[in-house]
Amino acid sequence: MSVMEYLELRHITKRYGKVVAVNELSLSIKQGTLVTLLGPSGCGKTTTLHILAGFTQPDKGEIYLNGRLINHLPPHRRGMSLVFQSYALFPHMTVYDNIAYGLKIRRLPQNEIWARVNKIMHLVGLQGLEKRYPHQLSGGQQQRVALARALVVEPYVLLLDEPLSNLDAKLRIAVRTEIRRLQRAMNITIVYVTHDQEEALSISDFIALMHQGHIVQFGTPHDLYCAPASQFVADFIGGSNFISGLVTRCTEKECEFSIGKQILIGRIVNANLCPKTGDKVVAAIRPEHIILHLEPPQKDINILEGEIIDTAFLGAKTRVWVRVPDQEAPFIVDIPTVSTVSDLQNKRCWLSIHPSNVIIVEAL
Amino acid sequence: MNGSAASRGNQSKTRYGGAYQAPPFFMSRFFKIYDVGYLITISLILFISIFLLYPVIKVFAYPSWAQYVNAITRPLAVRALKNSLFITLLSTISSVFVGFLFAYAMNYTNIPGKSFFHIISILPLLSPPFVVALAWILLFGPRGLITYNLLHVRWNIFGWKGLWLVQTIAFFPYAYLVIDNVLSSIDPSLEYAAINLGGTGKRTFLTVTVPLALPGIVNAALLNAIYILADFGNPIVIAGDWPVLPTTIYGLISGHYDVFSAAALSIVLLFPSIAIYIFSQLALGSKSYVTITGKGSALPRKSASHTMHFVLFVFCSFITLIIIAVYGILLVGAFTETWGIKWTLTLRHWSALTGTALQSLVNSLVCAIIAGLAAAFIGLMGAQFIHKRAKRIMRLWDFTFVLPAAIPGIFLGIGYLLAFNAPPIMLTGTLLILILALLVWNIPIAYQTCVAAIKQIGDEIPSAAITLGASPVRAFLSTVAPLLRGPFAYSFVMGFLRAVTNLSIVIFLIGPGRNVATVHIMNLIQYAEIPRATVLTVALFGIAIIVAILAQALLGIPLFGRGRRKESV
Repeated sequence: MSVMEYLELRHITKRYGKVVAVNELSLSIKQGTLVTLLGPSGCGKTTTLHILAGFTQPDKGEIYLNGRLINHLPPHRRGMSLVFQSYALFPHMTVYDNIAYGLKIRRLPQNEIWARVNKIMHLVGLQGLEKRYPHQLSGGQQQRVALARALVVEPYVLLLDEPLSNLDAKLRIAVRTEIRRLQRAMNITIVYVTHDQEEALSISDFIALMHQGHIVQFGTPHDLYCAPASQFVADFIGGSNFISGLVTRCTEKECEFSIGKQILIGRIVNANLCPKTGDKVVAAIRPEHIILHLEPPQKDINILEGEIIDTAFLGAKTRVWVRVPDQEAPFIVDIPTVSTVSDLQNKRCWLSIHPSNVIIVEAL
Repeated sequence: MNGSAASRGNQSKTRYGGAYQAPPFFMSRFFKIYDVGYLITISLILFISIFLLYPVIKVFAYPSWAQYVNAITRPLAVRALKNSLFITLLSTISSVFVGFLFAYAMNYTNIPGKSFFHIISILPLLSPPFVVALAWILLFGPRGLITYNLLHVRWNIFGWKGLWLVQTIAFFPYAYLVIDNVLSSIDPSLEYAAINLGGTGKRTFLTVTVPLALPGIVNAALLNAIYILADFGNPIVIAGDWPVLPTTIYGLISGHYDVFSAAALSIVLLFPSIAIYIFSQLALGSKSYVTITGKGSALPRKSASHTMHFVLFVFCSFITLIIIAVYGILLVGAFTETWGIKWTLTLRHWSALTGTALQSLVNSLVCAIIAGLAAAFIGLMGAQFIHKRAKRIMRLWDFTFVLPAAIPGIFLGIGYLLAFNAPPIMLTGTLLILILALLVWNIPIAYQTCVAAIKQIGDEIPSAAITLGASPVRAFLSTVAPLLRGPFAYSFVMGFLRAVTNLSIVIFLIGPGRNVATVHIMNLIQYAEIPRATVLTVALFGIAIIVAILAQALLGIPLFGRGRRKESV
């Protein structure tokens, strides 16, 4: 048996009738890291969080905290605070009483409660709001009360369930920076659930991308973005163009495949994929990794010829749709916006992609 | 031997690193006994079994098959059943019609005096069931103010026509409150959309408003049908020798001591009531088109036409006038020397408020306050510990908590009479039996109020407390319970009012020296002691209103204002 991490989930399975919400899920989390469970709705991330918190009993599998099996512990003995999407602030208590709740349960002396509540309120920037009631606070303030209430009890693990979904876009970015700062300053272990990939990329040490109850890829945000293990990952995180061709030559790390008359070279990051000559492969290419040329470029590898069919101005970048022969979907290419606007509609163009940016994600 | 040793080895291995196994069943049971929530659940189930199911079963088990057949084939019983169904149909239609017009006027017009109309319209809810009937006798009886003194006719209103009028006035407020709730939840933007698409006022009313309100109207009709079918106070006072089931059942016991036939007929009364109730739950449970979002629409409601304004104003004024006449006449009657003969004011009748009459008033209050509080408490506990666990077999217990709503008071009264007049539980003639019966009868309203409130509070608030380290019971007590103050107060006041004004249950359960006001009043009416009956009624009604107002003031929660549902947790 390998050395245990701080928090470990092993072969967790949960069924609701015939629906398998979580399927053989295993996950190791180091102390003091922020791990995000990311995935589309219905992927089992919230169920996993509730299994961790103890609100849901798994049908199968074990949860270890600090090497101790905790399956049988009721939620209130697990020492894991959960921050709900709705914040679940106690509407009949002041901000102070909300935050002090967990400390009062633990029967700490009054002066220590006072000191700890004050400290955490200072840390999250809620000074002076002690006597307010939740309905007298803004959304961002309510969010911070919920965080402070969960943090003040110094939980073994802090569980956050889509904590930013009720905030507006600007506040969301401010609060997530705040959560990250607190997590680093207090060295807290956080399991964070979200469906927003941008949020996950910006806040996490590690991301567990989930799909249909499985973890499809676990790694750093950079790994998931730059080396997606499958078509689903490449599509869910950041969005990608997918291009399929037939393998002409293949090594362990590199794969050459043909699309019509063109030859593309791509990178293999998922060791489980070992395409052979003649196989069909799918490669993912990020829109911003494509260089658009209006004249034929000098090089002759990884060049696709096509026709511009539409453009959209998005501010910092301009999105261009390019029809490439033999490919069903048009290519999406993001180019930096330049001040000299030229009409790109229906022009011939050439797309060049560096081989390290062509990721083989599927081999059939 | 070898095999078992191997499997044991496997087990010990899995225990420390392999698959998680639930503790053996006797361990889990053992721990559960010390779980407070589990204890409360068991206590609630025991309570409802002894004090609801046991009396109900007792009634079913009491008459033999032969007695049953004999009782229900008797011509009087057949007549009573036909009359009951006839008057239920008639009074339900008329009371729902009046209730709808009232609710429509409240929501779709800005006629003057709306809040006045509202206050007056709920007065019948606060008074004993026979108050309207009693006032009717003072107005239209043999010595009635209108029939005898003004018109000098020998016509009087005893009989089914009088009963119909009285029940319409007595029961329309129930329909009004239900329909008002539904109409006020209809999003005005839907009606604007209809008008915007080219609908006229009348067309919008018929194609948008009415269909949206229909589930509420049907629900109000079914609820009223249950009340009217079980109504005992009005027919006993005003129906004369026109028998309905509840009065016939009472007659069998009080006149002939024929408990067998009474039990048999009360079963006949129970079935339509349960059938209507189950139908209302099944048919309408999932069919509410009105979405309650908690966000009030910013749009003002589209008003009805000017003609409608006028018609509705006249209509509401007319109904309100009748109600004022009812309560005014009682008040005047309580201070008049000899009704119909000598119209001088006197306090003479108030001397009746001593001795047994006073004692019955005190008993009424004591029973109703205890029953109201206990019903609210048990309803609250049931909502948390029965409804939340209502899966599989627990659904049955969930149903028993709403079952009393479908049981006619007469039936419950006979059930208690049969169940607790002999050991093992001997309660006949005590105040406790009155309290228990009234308590059980009032559980559904508290239960449903608290279930709705707990649903609105949601799971996340107590769950948040649990993840902060509170045990489930502590989480409930510190987060959910304080938020249920309003629903608890509402349950108490409703339970109290229903208990203090109840006649149909308590009439079977009073013992020597343990009389209650409603029964005392009924006896006085039957002995034609109308002035004394009036005095006691006014006193009872006054106390009921004072308690309701006090509870409202103490808790700072408006219970009967039209804005109550807008209060959010």
